[in-house]
Amino acid sequence: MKPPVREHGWPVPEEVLWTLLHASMGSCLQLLELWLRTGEQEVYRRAMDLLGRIHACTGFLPAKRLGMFCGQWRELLLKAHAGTQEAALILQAGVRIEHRLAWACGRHGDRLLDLHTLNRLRAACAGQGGSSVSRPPQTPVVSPCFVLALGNAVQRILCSPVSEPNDLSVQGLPVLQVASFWPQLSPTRQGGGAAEVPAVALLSLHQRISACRLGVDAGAHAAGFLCLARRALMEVLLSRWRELVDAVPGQGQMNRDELAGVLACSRVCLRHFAARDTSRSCDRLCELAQNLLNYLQCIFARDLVGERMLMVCLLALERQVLKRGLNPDPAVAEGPAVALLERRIRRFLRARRHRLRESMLGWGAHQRQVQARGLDELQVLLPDLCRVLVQQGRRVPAPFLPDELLYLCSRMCVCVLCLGWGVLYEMLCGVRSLLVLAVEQRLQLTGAYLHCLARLLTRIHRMLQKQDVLEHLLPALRALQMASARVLAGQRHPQSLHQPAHEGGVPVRVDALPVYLTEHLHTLLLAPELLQQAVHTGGTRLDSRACLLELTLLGQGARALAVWRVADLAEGLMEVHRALQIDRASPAPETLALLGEIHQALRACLNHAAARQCVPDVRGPLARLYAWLEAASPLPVSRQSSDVVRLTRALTAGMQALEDALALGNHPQGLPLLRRLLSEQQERCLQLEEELEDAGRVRLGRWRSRLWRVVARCASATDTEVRLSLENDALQLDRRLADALLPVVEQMLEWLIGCSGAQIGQPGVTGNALVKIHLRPRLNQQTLVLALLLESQALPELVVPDGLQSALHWLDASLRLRPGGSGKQVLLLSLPARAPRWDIAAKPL
Amino acid sequence: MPSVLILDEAPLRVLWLEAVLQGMDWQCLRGDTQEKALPLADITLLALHLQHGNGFESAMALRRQGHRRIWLLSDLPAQTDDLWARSLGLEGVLRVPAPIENFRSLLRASLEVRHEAPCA
Repeated sequence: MKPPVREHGWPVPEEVLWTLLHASMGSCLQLLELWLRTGEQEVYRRAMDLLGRIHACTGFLPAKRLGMFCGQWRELLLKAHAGTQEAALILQAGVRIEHRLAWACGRHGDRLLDLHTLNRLRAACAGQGGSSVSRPPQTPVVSPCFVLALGNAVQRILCSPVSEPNDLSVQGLPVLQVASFWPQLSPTRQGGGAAEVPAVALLSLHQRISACRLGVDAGAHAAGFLCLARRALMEVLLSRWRELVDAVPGQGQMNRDELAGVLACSRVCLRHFAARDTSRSCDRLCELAQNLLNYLQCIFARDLVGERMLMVCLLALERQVLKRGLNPDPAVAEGPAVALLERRIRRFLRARRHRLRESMLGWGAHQRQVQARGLDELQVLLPDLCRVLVQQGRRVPAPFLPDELLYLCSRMCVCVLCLGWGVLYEMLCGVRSLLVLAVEQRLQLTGAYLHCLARLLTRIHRMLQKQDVLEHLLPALRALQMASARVLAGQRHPQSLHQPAHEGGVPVRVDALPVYLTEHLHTLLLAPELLQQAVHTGGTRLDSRACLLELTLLGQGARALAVWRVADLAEGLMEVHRALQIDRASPAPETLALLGEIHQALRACLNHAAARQCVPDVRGPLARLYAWLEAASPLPVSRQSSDVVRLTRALTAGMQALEDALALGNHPQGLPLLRRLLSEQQERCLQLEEELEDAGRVRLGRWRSRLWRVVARCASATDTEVRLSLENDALQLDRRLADALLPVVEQMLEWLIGCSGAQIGQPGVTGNALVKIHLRPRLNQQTLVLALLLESQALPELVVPDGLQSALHWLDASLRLRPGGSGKQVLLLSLPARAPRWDIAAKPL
Repeated sequence: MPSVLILDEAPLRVLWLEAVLQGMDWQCLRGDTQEKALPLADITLLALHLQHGNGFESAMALRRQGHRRIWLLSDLPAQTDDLWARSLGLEGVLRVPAPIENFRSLLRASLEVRHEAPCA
């Protein structure tokens, strides 16, 4: 128990005195700020009076150094105009005293009052000419350097991670400076930006003081403080945005400078927010919000394209927020603060959209006509949309959405907007966004959702007929909202489609793929016209290398996005272009015509995909492509052998030349010639070595064209849609083994497709005639394992045919069947990874 | 007087477009994407989402017929829509309905730009 301190005869507990002094110090600082701002002598006098009392009170406390500090500080303040350095020193000392008072009777409190600062205070006092009784300034003017010092302090705080307590202890001084002085000084700085600074600074101070008072380490408060700081930042950010919402372009009360200030503050807040969340979705969110602010600035600056860009950005931001809500990662979903931000952003978007709507529809004299036309169109659209929804509800789970659904919904959005039904417009925009998600990300719309939507539309239709009020729709709207939440919640479990990985295991950003593809496809879009021209003129201007690169990009991108038809067509075209490139001869006019037509079909597919419509069937073009490949000569091997012969001949000729050069050994010009010839020979030898080495091994990617030809042939024979994927293209096998294995794999494919096609045709088997085969070769030391994953609506009962059995026996291979989950079956073909036994008479197939 | 050909299946949107264009003293022509002989105009406005087909495909066909300065119309355009339209050599995607002044400015600006021949 500490002894009580006596003041004016009353026993006062020491803690109470510390608290009182701390509060007095706060008041003193406020008075000093006011004096700096207004220059009122009365305020200065009161501040000095208070400071004198504080100084006197320190004598009652067991804190000698605090008393010395207060004395020196007061003396310095009593001087006339403080210079730039003195102003900073005054603030620094004041803050240290404030902190010391906050530590109260803590043992380590005096550490804040360091001797260095005390000595600087003494030196400053001595440097003022020794007169300790100076008159207060009549017109106190804040020095520009003083303001600059404050500004720098603000900047340091804003640019430093507030969450880290260690930094806080270092930054403790500017925190209080900012908290105390910035709000008053901010009007003198261009660009505004006052509101968020006290928020951050005061929170910092609060954290520090509360930690001190509790006598615990500041680090223990870090987590709680982080939450507080972020919440404060969000609050500030959202309040800034709210101001923007309220400011109608041209009519708002904000001028451009004020707006610039608000935007700058918002950017700072966003940067802080982003610095504390390293998740990708947050990055995107912040990036979009930054864009939003930029575009808003465009509007206020009467930029012509600003408004349109704003709408694009609003939609993207809304979508991102929606996705962020879907994110199942607990590290990203941070609880109430982020949820609050999301809700506020949505509200912001709604409000902004509402205001934009008003500026969109300047009907004027056409108002009545629009109302009548809008109602008429709605009456026609509603039954159609209901019909499509009911049809779709019967097909759940449906792999694709009908194109009509998006089209009708889009038209209804316009109608409702023109009629001014804000709630319904928002609802339909939500429906439309969900439909787009369903198309782009294969989000499965549940039967319940479609049912709720149909019921709501029916009610709207009834309402229109009976001239009812919109409020009656609210229960149906709520039900739809719930159903929508359930649909989105179903998306929480990420499927392989949404996070496909490269061979290296790095996930692909599927959401970024469409934009990436759109930006990088150029040659493919011009290819049909160029090829058609080439048919007539004979020579093509098509850059086949660029075409191949774009086709590769498109094939991989489309596969990642699960747009299988585009992927298949791109890969088929790629095979043909590759064959033509290897051949190096100018293609025949028939080939050019074929390529032109297929490129046209590919562009049509891309256009449909870009418009989020069902991509047309590509089996016809694919069959034509593979027929062409079938007729083409087996290029790689023959070319390779002829190349080898050519190289050997060149080597022989080179040896001959060398021999001749050696005969000229004594000639002065003979040596350089000999060197040159030797170097050429060395290059040729290396090339030959590479060729021969490659001739012994073969990459499995060489199988692609042969396997696809088989697939195309079998698919057309059984009227089945087959998708084949071959993994591990780069795997190299002995050429003889590969040559022997390829016919076996072809036979297996024929067998599987034949069985599946027959099964799909059986009565009672529902679903589309789609068979997916994934071929995954793996080399395990001495064994080659070929896994064939078969996916089909109707899995056949697999009985290995005799021909295949004998072929497998010849290869020393074993075939095992393994169920791979619902609708899947895995065939594992294992065989020794060496050349087959050639001692057995006759080839198997 | 500049002329604009409107190819849209939504009557309300057509009404809005006509109102906006009449305010500019521009001539409005209406047509159907299924028609084979459409009149040529200074600017063509074509809906992106059609009941049969889509605006991208129809725009390619229109370009083959000699139409220039083709804008696509959508009520909720996505980022990729505009990018894809520009890749195909179209002017871009206009949000309809949109703030009227901006819409008019874009059309005027489009008319002022000398139209270059397509690459292919």
